[in-house]
Amino acid sequence: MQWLVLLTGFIHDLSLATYVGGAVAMEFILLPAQNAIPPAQAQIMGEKTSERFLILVWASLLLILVTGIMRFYFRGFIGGESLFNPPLTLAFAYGRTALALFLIWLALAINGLIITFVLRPRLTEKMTPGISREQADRNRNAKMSAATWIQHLSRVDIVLAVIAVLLGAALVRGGLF
Amino acid sequence: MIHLPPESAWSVLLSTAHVLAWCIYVGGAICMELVLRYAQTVMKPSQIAVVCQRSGKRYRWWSLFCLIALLATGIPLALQHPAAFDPTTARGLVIWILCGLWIVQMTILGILSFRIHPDMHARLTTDMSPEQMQAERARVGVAIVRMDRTVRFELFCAITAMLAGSFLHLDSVAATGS
Repeated sequence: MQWLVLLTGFIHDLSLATYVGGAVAMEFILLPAQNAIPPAQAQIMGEKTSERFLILVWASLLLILVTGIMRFYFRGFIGGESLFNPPLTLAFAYGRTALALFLIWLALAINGLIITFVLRPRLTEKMTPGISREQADRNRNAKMSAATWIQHLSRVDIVLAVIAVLLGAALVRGGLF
Repeated sequence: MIHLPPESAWSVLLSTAHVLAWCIYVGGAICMELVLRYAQTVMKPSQIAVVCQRSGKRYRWWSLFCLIALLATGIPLALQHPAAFDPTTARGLVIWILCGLWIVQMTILGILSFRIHPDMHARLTTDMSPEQMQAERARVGVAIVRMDRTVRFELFCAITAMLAGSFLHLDSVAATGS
């Protein structure tokens, strides 16, 4: 049992590190490096890095949720006669902080869904030959708008992830509010 | 509205900074290994060199700040427990292992910054013979392979340290210190 607790804790920490550190590395290390090469190559690099990073993001988000729930279960806060046991209820700071963490996870997942299924397909859409100039301009503007939105959402994700780390640290000491 | 007493609030801030430094250090290394390396497979060699040079330079600075932050926040966090550095207790032993891994990671960062990365720059001049140019390219090739191995070893040490750190969160170790 103790080994299972250790394993879930390790996977939880590693997934969090992959999500937060990966987002910071993408924004502050890879993006500036990408801007230093010609636009055509930068586009290829951007497509490949975001393709692989999205896989890491979804794997991390899923593992953070699963191992987070398992950690509550091993402590006896989930399961038994009622679904949630004290201190994992809204009457305790611990429960309220855990709820805030879950809401942040939900916001990150929604942002991930928007980027994966709405914005990224617009960005990677290929232009068909023979379209009018207006249509080409519209496509280009849609791509630029999608790229800008992805950048905004990625920055929001970094801020949310930092708040989640703060809440997680507070949870170890009984909750924040 | 804030539930924490001031002494716990300080601990929470230290823990947050510590976890963030870990996340950026380990997550950055994972991202460089799994994301950048993957993107390089479809890029032109000349562009790979530019991207590696730019990202490597920034990554080294981020790593240095993270390692310093880990030490600066890790020591006060460890000292919150009695006999934190006593190697006869489980907790103390884990903390000494973490200290050892920190030194290994700092050494790797130094080797990357002052030895391996400078070795990766090709020094080709017009007065070189074709053999000399070929030898120079071969030397750079060896340096790239050496860098790949070193970066993977750095990632392995970082993940091992994270596993060691997970031991500190076990309730029995945290509560009894033995």
